[in-house]
Amino acid sequence: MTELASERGPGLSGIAWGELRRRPVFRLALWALAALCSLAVYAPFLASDRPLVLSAVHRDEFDRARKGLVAPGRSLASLVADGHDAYANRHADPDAPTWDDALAAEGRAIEARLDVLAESLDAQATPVLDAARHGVERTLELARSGRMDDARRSADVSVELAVEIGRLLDPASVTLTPVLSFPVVAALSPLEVLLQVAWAGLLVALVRRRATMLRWVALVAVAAALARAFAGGHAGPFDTAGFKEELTSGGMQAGLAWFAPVPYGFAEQHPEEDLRPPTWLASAELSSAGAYVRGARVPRPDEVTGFVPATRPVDVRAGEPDVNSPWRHLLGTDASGRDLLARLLHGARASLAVGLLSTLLLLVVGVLVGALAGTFAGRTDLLLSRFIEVFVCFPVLFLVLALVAFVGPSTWNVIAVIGLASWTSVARLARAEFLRERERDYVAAARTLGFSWARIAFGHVLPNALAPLLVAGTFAVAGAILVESTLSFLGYGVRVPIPSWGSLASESRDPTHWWLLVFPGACLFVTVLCVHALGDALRDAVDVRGGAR
Amino acid sequence: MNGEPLLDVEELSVHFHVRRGLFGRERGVIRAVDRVSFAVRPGETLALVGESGSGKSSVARTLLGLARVHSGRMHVRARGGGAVELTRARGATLRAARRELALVFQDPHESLNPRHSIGSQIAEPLRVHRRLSGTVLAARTAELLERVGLPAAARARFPHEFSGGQRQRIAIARALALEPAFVALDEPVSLLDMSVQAQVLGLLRELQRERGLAYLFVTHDLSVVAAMAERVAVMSHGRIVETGATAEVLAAPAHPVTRALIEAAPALEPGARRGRATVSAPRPSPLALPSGCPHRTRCPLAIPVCAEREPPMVEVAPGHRAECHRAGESV
Amino acid sequence: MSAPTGSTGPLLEVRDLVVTVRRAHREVRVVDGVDLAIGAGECVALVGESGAGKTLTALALLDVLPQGARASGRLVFDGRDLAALDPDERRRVNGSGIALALQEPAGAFDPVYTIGEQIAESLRLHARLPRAAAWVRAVELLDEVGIAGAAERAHARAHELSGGQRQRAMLAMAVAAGPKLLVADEPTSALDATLRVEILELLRRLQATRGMALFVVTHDLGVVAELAARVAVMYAGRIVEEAPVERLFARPAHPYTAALLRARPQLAVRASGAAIPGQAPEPGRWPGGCRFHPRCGLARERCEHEVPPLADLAGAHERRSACFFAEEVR
Repeated sequence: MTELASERGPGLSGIAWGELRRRPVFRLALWALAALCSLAVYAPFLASDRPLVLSAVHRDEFDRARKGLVAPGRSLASLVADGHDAYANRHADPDAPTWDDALAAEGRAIEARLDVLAESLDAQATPVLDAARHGVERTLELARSGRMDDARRSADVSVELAVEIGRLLDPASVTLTPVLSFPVVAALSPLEVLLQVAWAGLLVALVRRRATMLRWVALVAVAAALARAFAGGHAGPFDTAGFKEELTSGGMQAGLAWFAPVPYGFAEQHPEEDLRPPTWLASAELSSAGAYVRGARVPRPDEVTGFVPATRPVDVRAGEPDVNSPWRHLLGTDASGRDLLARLLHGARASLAVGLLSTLLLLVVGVLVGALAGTFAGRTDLLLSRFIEVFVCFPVLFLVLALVAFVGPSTWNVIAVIGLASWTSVARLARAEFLRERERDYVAAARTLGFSWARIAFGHVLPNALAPLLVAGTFAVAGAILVESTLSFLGYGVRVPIPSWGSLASESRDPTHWWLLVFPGACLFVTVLCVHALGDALRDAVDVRGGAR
Repeated sequence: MNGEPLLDVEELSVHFHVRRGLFGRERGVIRAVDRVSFAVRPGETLALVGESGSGKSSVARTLLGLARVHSGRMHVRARGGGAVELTRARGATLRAARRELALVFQDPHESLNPRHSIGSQIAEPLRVHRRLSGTVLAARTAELLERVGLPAAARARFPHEFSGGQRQRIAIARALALEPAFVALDEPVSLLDMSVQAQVLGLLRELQRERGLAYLFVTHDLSVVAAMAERVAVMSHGRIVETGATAEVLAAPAHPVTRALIEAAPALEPGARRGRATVSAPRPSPLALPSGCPHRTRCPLAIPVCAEREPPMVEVAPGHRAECHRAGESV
Repeated sequence: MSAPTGSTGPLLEVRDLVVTVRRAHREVRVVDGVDLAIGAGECVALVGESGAGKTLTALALLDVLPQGARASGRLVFDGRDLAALDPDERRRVNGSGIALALQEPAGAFDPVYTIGEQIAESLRLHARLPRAAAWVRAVELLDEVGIAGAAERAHARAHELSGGQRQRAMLAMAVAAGPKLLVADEPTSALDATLRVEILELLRRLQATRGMALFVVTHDLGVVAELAARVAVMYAGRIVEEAPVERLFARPAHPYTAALLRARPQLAVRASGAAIPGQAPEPGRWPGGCRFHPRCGLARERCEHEVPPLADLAGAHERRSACFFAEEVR
């Protein structure tokens, strides 16, 4: 029996990875990109107009619920009083809700308000609310089972109870308990939760170098996403549930309100602060009346008429820094008074998502076409090569513009279009690699073992052909990011107001508002630079060791 | 040893078309294998020797479907009786017949996939064709590895971690995974060090004894022929020019090509060959072979009839045949 | 190593050659202190299994080690210390002083240019011949190495030649500048038997007509038997035996040499050579003491701890062996 050394050696990808890790440029670029992706993935936690953690007394909401108990109660009572038939006669319109539905709807309305009340009250008051709940349930039960007299009595009792509660729970006399909530988390969609949990898990697994962790990560991420989906009620991206307003106006009294580091939403406007230069530079100063007292935009009275334009006072909302604090708008604001830093953070999502996903698409299509051409050679190769050439004739940007004009701008359309327009170089690369590899003995060996062409092409040849394709893929990411930003710059990219770095850069072309061009441009520059550095390092590492014996 | 041949090849021809020019116009045909016939019985080893370009590798590769047959027949006696003719069979019968054949390649650094662990490469035929998985698969893989002299723990390693001899043994294990009855070996030890050659050849002999395998041993090295094969067929320019029992052919070669090969065998003692003149007229291009017998330009026995007619196959002794106008005569 | 000397000592003297290679982020010694001497016009063979370090030794002589490999040690060629030369001079030694013929002839030629052009280029560079004269000389060289129709074949590219012709062309290119020493790495490993005979014949002829020294690196004892005057046997990075070729074959003085000789295949039927048990150790994982001891039939306690030095054999002319029990070897 022969002896072999006891430690297990690395595979070829292990050797390539070792080469990569030795290069400082690669490590730097990798960390930078990981940081950028993290910023994009966790953007809602970094920039949001909702507090991260809120422990507040929901005074206004409480009041609304209290006052809103009576009306549905009376509706319920009148429905019960009418009875099924009278209602049906009066509402013969087939689109109108049936009597049962109407009952159920009123019942739900009451329940909802009772829930709101219960949230803000301590344990002592709950018996009253429970009684009300029972009353409503009983009424509905009786009504549905046809015992109308009992139902009516129960309904009347419920109404009285509702009025009583309304009086009892007069905010002036009742102490409300603060409610703890996590408004940012509540606003996340299940997809976002999936991404965020998966990304955290991925980073941990990479740092600890345990590929086996990945399965658990995937499991946990999917579970979290499902939990979020079940919990329901997540707001869309355009919902600006007015936390800030309520906090400022006193509708909510915060005991504890922690806002995100950048306490602005990407769509939140401060019109009175439009086009404000980066406050961190402190080159300008705004008075609370909204007039610039220092800096480039100090209003000068008109020479002839002496007219000074009116200004609006600056609205410093809950959670926001002072008017002239250097943290107010770190990178300035745009023409609608939206904070640039918040929009940059959210814009990273569009740019990176489009870059990565469209590259994935173009890799899949390109490798498929190239693999088929290279595996079968002969006539198939002839046909596919001509097909590739047809595609190559179109300049990518114009093709993309034309397609987007056709299907309409939206994130998914942009991803699909960029992917489907740029796959040709990968296809040619894959074709060359496959044509070369098919001559090698291990492919012949696989054929003698009777494996199908698909198994040989994708199971045997592809891992050996992968290295240059990965390199091409990294550069394609950079290209896709730039194409997307060009599209957005021209107005054909993701829909406003979803920000993307390209669209941010296009918002003002006036050099006095340099921050609107420089910062999005810098983000693009840094990202593309890092991706290229990554690609270069990958290509070097692959060159030296990828085919090593 | 069963009397019926396991593999029976009749008049096999493999032609390669040479294309030059922009539109791939055909410039000529290379008859890599030219009406070759032989048979191999179960448990027997037939050696196929010749210079490079003689067509011996093409024969092995064609048997396993790696090259297209121009004409001729290849009969394989699959497990369970009937003979299957490989050029006519289709579908499941063809597949079943093909499972009986395996091929071990010459270059151990090339015949294994550098990206797959050796364990998975040995296991893959079992997984795909026998649908084994889990512990059964692992056990069979370990068995095969250990049979060729490697520790079962090596299954997670990659080909580049092994030496040439070890890789060739891995290739043998892979070839045996589906338990074929016949193994074609295309110069399996010619790229290995001499000491390692001995190891691998020893392994092959053991495996043949244990499993009753039939071998087609393609080689240019006569010492390997002597060590491994009961019968030998000498090939040149795509034709079999001499065939017979190894001992007899080596002791009394009846064809000039065989004689030249024997003389060219490495001298293993110093001073054995020095100062001996070798005739080396250039080899004819396969696209433009001389008329009649293609060897006549380099043959010390050539006579006028050699240019006029192709030489006939002459039986110089029972079981020992040579294709020459002057078969059996020596210089 | 003692060698037939000209008036100024051996043509090439190698002292304590060490070659390290980068493997998995570590520096590993592959050649571990090799001494050699080659006299003018002499043929010396270096024998060993793959991985013993033979090829790197050969490449180190020409300073053409692959990336990641580093050599140290003293190289004196034709009286000049090669390490003391500046890079340009060192480069010029290659080709006109020492030449290299590689195992794979296809790698020696650029596929874009014809072989005639490439040989002529070497001549223009080293022999300072003008263009036309260089071409004529190139054709002469191709003829000398036995390529039929040299004048036409000189216009061919490497891939258009047959294997044997490529091998000959590569040798023509190697000897074009008239080197005093030709280093050949496995010159016949990729060839079939008849070609092998022809190439060995060619090498012998070149050596004789040009008075060229030949340093052959090989694992094939047949090549050693046919070409060499003196042999050095290498195992695990070290030389373990040196001897004139007849003495080595008749009476080996090291167990490894004896094992290699036993492993030769016989032409008798059904008897291949005896395999050497075990596996050659990887560089960096060499066993302690005598490196061959785990596989050696003569190994004793002493061999596990002490490293036997390469010592002259008592009473034997020009023979050295690195074994404590050299006399007992059969």
